[in-house]
Amino acid sequence: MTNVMQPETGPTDQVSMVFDLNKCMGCQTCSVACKVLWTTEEGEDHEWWMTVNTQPGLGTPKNWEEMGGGLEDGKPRPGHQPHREEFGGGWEFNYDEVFYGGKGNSAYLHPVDKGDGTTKWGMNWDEDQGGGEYPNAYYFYLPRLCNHCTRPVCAEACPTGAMYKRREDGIVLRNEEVCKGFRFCMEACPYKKIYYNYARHVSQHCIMCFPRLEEKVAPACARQCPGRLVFVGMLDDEEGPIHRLVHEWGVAMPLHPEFGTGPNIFYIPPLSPYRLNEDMSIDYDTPRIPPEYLESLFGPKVHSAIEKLQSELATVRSGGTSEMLDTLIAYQWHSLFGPFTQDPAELDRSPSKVAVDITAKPSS
Amino acid sequence: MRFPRGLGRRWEGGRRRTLAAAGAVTLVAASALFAAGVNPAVPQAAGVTSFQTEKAPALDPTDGVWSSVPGVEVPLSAQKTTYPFGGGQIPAATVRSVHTDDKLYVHLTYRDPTLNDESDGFTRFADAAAVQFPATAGSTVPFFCMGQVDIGVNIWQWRADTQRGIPENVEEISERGYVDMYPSTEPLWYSARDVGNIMAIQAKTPVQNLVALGFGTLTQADSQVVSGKAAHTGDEWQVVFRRDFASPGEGQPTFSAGTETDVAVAVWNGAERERNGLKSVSQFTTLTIGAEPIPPNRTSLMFLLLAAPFVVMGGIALVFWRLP
Repeated sequence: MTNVMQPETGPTDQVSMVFDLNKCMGCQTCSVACKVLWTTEEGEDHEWWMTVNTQPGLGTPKNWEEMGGGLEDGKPRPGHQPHREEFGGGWEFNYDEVFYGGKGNSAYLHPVDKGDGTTKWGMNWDEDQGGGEYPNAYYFYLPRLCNHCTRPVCAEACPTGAMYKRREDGIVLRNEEVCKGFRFCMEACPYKKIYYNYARHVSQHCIMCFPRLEEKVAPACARQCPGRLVFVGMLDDEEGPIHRLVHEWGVAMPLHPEFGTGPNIFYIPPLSPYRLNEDMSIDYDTPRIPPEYLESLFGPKVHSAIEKLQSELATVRSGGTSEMLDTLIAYQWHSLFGPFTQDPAELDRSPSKVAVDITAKPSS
Repeated sequence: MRFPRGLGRRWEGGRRRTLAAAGAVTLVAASALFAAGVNPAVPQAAGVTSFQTEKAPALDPTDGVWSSVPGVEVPLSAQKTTYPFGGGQIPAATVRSVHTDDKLYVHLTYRDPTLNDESDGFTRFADAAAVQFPATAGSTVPFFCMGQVDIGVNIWQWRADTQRGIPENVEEISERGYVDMYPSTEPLWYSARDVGNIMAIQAKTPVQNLVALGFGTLTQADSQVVSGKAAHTGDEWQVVFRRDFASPGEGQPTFSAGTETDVAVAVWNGAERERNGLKSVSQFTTLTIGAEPIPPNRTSLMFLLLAAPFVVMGGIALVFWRLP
C-alpha cells in the first residue's frame, strides 16, 4: 500500500479550485468541456469527470452521498462500488424504427432499455427537482469533480501504487501503466468520482487538466465556464483569491469535510431567498434553503460563511465597498485563474509525428 | 495348548479365515492407496514432485497426461497478512507438475463452480490462479507473501479475463454504453493501452510473469514468457502453466532436473469479488524436479488392482475351506 500521506513525500504545493455556487446556473458547459476533451473514447461513455447536479438530489452516481468510503482512523474505509446502472446514461435509441421502420409519425424516438439500467438514471437525472414545497421550493447547482484530496484515500487504497499525489502541485494522478483495474479506489473514494474504463480495464478520474496547467492554461471546466464562477490557483498563494477566500475570509469550504480526506476543491455556499408565509408575505427570519441542509453538505462553518457573505452584501448595499465581493464578481476574468491565464489558441500544439523516447538522455 | 478336537479345529479354522480376510483387506487398501498415488509412508502435502516426461504435454490442462500425474492437495486460506485482508473462498488446490528436458509444467486443479471470465462490468471480477517460486532456489525460503527485500519471488498469474481476451467490438461488452463511433484514433487518447498496460491490450499469453521483493513491489517482468491455459469443466478450474527452464531475466528462477525449489499457490474467486490481496493462498511447499518418470496410468490399473485381491482372497478362502 502506498503511503502518500507521509510529510516527506507530500506535495510541496497544491493546485486548488473554488466554485462560487451563487453564480452557477447549471448549464453543464463545464461538464461538456471536460467530456469532449477527455472521455470520448471506448469504455468512457459513462465517464463524466465533471458533473453538475441539482441539490438537494441524489446526484451521480445515484445516491453517492450514502455510498461510504473515506478515511477512518487514518485507514481507508471500503465503501460501495457504484454499479453501471447507478451511473446510468450511454443510451441506445430506436433509430432504425424511427428512420427506417416505415411507421411514419407513429414512431417516436426514445431510449431502448437494454435491461442494464442505463435508462433509469443519468449524470443529471434529477435536474431542478430540488427540495421544499411550493411556494418555498428551492434548489441550487453543485459542480463536482475529483477533489484532489490532501489525504487521497484512493491512493491509500490502491495496492499497486498506480494512484499517487503529484509532489509539485498536489494533483492526484494515476499511472495507467501499472493500474490493474482492481477498483479499490472506487470503493474508497467517498465522493465516487473515480470511474472504471470497462474497455481498457483501468480506473480513470479527473486529472485537473494537468497537461494544460503545465502550459499555464486553466482546466477546461474552469476556462469554459460562462458564469465565471471557477477560481483556479495555488492554495498557498497568499495573494491569490483562493487562499483569501478559503483561509482569510473563510467563505469557501470543502464538500463533506467529515469524509476526512481533505478536499482541495472549495465552494462558496449558496445564499438563499427568504421563505414565504402562507399569505405570501415574506418571512425575513428564515432562509428558504434550510441551514441544516447546507451544514450537511459543507460542515458547521457554513453558517459563519453565510453570515460573512450577507454582511459584505449589506456593506455594499449601504454604499460601501467589499474586496471580497469584488473578488467573487471577477470583473476581469483573468483574475480567476492566477498563473493559468495562457490562451490555448496561442500555443503551438502541432501533434508530434515522431515517437519520442522520454527516457533517452539529451545529446550533448 | 490343546483344545478339544472339534473346538480346536473350529478355532484354528476361524483364525485362518480371519488372517486371510485381514490380509485381503490390507492388500485392497494398499492397492487403493497406490492407485490413488498416495504413499502412506510420506506425510501428505510435504512436497510436489515434478515428474520427467519424454513427450511434452499439450498446453491444455485437460491433456490426458495429467490424469497419470500424482497430485498434492495444498490447503489454502484467506490472505490475512496485509491490506486489503481477505479472500479465502477456495479451501484447497491440487498441484501437479511434469517437466521435459528444458520446460517446467505446473498444473492446478481447484473447485470453483462459477466461471467468471469478464472484468468488463463495473462490479465483475475475473477468476485467477497463480503459482509462486523463490527467485533463486536455496536453503532460505522467502516470505510466502510477495517475498522479501533480499529474496524475491517470481509469480505466474493466469487470469480468466485475459484468456477470454478483450472484445474487438466494444458493443460485445456487457453493461456497455452504446456508441455510433469514436472520434479519435490517436493512440495518445487511449491511455493505458498506449503505454502497453497488460490489462488494456490483447495479451499474447493469459499468464502474467511478475516479480516482487515484498509488499507493494509486484511488477511485470520484462519478458512475458510464461505460457498457460485453463479450462472450466464441471465445477472446477484446471490451469496449466509452462515455462522454459532457463531464467528469462532477473528475479526469475532457473529450473533444472535433479534440483529442488519451492512453490506456493494463490487462487482468486471472481464471483466473490476476490482480486489482488483478497485471495486464497498457501505457504511454500517443496517442488522436487525429479528424474523419475510419470507413474503408469493409475486409472487403468485401478480396476485390475482392486479386482486382483478379491480373486486372490477368493482362492485363499477356497483352499482354507477345503483343509481338513
